[in-house]
Amino acid sequence: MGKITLTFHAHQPNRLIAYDFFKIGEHAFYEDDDMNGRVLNAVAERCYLPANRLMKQVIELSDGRFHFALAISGVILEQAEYHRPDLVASFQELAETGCVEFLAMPYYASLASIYSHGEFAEQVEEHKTLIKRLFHQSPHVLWNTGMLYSNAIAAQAEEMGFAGIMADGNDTALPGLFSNDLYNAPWVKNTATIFRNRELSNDLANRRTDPSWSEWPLSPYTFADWLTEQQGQCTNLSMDYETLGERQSDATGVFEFWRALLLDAIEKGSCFVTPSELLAAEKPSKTIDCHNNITCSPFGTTSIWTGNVMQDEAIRKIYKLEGAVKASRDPDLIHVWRKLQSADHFQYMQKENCFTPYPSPYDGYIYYMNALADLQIRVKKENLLRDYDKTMRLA
Amino acid sequence: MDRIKVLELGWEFPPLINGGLGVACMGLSKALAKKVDLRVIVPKADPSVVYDGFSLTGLNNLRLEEVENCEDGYRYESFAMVEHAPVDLNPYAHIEGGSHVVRFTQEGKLVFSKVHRNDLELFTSKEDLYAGDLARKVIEFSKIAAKLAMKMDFDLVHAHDWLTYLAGVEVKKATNKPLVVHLHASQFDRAGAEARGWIYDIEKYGMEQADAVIPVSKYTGTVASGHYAIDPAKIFPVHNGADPVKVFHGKKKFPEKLVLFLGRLTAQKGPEFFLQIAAKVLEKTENVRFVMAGTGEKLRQLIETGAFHGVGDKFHFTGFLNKQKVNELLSITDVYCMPSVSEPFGLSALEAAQFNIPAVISKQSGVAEVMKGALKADFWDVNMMANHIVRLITDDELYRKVAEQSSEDIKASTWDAAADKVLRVYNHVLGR
Repeated sequence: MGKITLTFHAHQPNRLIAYDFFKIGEHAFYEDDDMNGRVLNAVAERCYLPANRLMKQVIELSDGRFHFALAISGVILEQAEYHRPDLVASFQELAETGCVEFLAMPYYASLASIYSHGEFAEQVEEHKTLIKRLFHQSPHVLWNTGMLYSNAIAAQAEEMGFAGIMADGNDTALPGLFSNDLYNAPWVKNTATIFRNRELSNDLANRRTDPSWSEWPLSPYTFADWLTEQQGQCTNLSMDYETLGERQSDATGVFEFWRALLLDAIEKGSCFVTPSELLAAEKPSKTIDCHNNITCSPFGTTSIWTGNVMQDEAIRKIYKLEGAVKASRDPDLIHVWRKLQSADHFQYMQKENCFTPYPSPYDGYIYYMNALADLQIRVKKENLLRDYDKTMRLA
Repeated sequence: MDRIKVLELGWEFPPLINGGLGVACMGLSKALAKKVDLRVIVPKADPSVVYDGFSLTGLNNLRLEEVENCEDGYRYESFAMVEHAPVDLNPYAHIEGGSHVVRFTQEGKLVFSKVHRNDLELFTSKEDLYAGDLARKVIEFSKIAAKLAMKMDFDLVHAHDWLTYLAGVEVKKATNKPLVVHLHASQFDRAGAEARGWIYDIEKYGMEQADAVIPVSKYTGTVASGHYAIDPAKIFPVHNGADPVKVFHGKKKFPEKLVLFLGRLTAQKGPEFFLQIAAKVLEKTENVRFVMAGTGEKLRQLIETGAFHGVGDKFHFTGFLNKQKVNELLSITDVYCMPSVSEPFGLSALEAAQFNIPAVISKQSGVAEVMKGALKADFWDVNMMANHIVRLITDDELYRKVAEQSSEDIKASTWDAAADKVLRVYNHVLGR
C-alpha cells in the first residue's frame, strides 16, 4: 500500500503598528494587537476551526486510519492562547485522537537557521517546550520556516537530534531528485530528509481553483486515484493550513473536496502515516547534495525575504543585536527581539509583494527599523543598568 | 510725505495655503502695512479672515459683475500674442510639458477678450491652486488683476514670484505705474541650471519689464543677474524675516543627539547629501540619530539609499509633518542641517535658530548671508558638513557659541527690517 504523509503548516504574523519616529524611546509595544487579534479571529472562523472539525471527523469516519501532521508556529499559538483559547482547545482535541503528529519549528517562524545557529537551536527548543506543554508530544521531525533547507540546515537538525527534516521537493534546484523517496544529506546519518511532493501539493494548494489548469475542475476521486498511482517510499503532501477555507473559500467547496478526497484515498488503499511513523517504517537509501538554501516559496529560494537592500539591512541589524539582547538576560526583551525575527517582517518589505498589511513595503521597512531602534535603546539601557549594579556590588 | 499706495499681487496666502511663498507674502504684507497703504490681490483668499492694516482681495470672492464693470475698451498687452499656453505645468520638472509650447499669432490678435464665468470659477473651485491648468490660471489671474487695477488708485505694483509676474506686467502696461517684482524662488532653484520653458520665460520677462527686482538674498540676486541676465543695477536684495514662534523645549526619549533635515524631498533641498552626511557622521560617532522630515518624489529612493548605507536604525523618515509636529521635532533637535543645492533663502534655518538650534547649512543658500554663526560648507562637500556636525555634537563649548551667535543673528531678521528695505526700493523707483 502506498504511504502518504500530509502536513499542514499554520502561522499568523505579528503585524506592527504604524511605528513612527515619535514613538522611539517611548512606546515599547510594537505589535498591532488589535489587527492581529482581528485577523486571527477571522481566519479561525473561516479556516482553522472548520478544518480541525473536518480532520477530526475524517479520523473518526476512517476508524483512526487517517493520520496527518501539523507544523504550527509558536507565534500563532501564542496569539491563540491570548485571543482565542478555543482554537488551542480545538488543536488539543486533535492531539487527543493520537492520529496527529506535531512537528517542531523555529518558534518565531524566523530565518535563524541561516543567520544564527545558536539562536535557531534555542527557538526550536522553545517551540518543542510549547508543543510539549500544549499537546503532550515531543516532536521528532523538523519543519523549518518556509521549508528552508540545505546541507547545513540538515546537519543542524541532526545535531538537535531530529529523526527527520522536511524540505521542498524542488527538482529544478536538485536535478534527479525523486521526492517520493527518503534521502540523507551528505555526512548526515541520523536525520532523514522528507521531500514534499511539489506537483501534487501545489495541485491541491494552488491549481485546484485555477480554471486555466488542464485538470480543472479537479474531482477528489481523480486525485485519490493519482495518489494510488504514486511510486516510491512515500508521497508527501504539504501546504499551508490556510488553504482550507481562507485561500480557497468555503464557497469553492474546499471542505467537501478534502473530506471526499481523504476518505476515498483511504478507501482506495492509500495509507496515511505521520512523518515519524514513516521514518519508523522506512529508511533513506540515497544521498542528496543541497548546497544552497531551498524553500517552498514560488521561486524556491529565499528571495522573498532577502531580495532587496531594505530586507538585507533589517535582517543584518536584528541579528547583530543578538549578543547585547542575550547579555541583558531579560526574558521580555529577548522575547520581543525574537518576535521581530519572524520572516514575515522581511517579506512585507518585498517591493513586488502585494500581500502586506502596510501602505507600502517602504512603510513596512520604516515601522520595522523604528521599532528596532527602540529595542536597541532599551537593550542598551538595560545593559548599562546591569553593569552599574555589578559595579556597585563590587564596590 | 504721503504714504505710498501699493498694489501687491500674490499667489498663495495663509491660512489657505501654507507654502513658503504664502508665509513670506503675509509676513512682509503685515510689516509693510505699517508703512504704506496696501492692497493685496490673490487668486484665493479666505473671506472670513481680516488682516490688520491691509485689504486682501481673493478672485474667488469676486462676482462676475464686478469684473465686467471694468471690461470696456481694454487691450491685453503682455500676452496678446499668446495663442496657446502649455497645460500641466510642473514647476519642478526639468523640461516642461512636452509638445505643449507657447505659440504666437501672426497679427497679434486678441485671443482673450472677456472674462467669463468659468474663468472666475478657476479660483472658486476646490482644486489646488497649483493643480490642473496652471497656465490658464496664471493668465486669467493676470487679466482680472489688470482690470481691477484700472479702477484702483495706487502708486506702484509689487508682484511675488513668476505666478504673478504676468499680472504685474499687465498692470504696469495698463496703468503706467512702476513695477517691482519679488523673487522668492526661481526655476533655477526648483529645476536646476538647465531648466528652460514657459516658467523661465515668464520669470525673465517679468524681471526685464520690472523697474526693480527684489530677490530674497544676495545669492538669489546673483541668480537673477547671472542666470537671467537682469541688470544688476535694478536688483535690490532684501532678506526675509522670521515670525517669532512660540519656542518650547521638549524632552528627547532617547539618549542620542538629534540632527534634523526639514523640507521637500526634491533635488533642490539636497536630501541625498544629507544621507551621505549622516553615513559619514555615523562612522565617527554612534551617539547620534538623524531625522528626515518631509515628503517628495525622492522619498522611496532615499529610503533605499539609506538601507544601502546601512543607517536605517539611526536615520528616520517621518513623511509629511504638520506645523505642530514640526515644532515638536524642533523642540528636541540638537543640530539643524540644510544641505540645499540652491536655496533662495531658507526660512527653516531661522526657525530652527529660534529654537536655539545651531545650524549646518550650505553656502548655496540665502540664509547663510544672515546667519553669521552657522557652520557652512558647499552643498556637495559632505565631508565638511559631516565634520561640522561631529564637532557640534562632541564639543559643548563650540555648540554653545554657535547657538548663542544664532540667537544674535535672528534678532536682526525681522519682517519690519525687511519692510524698511522694501520701502527704500519703493522710494527709489518712485524717484522720491
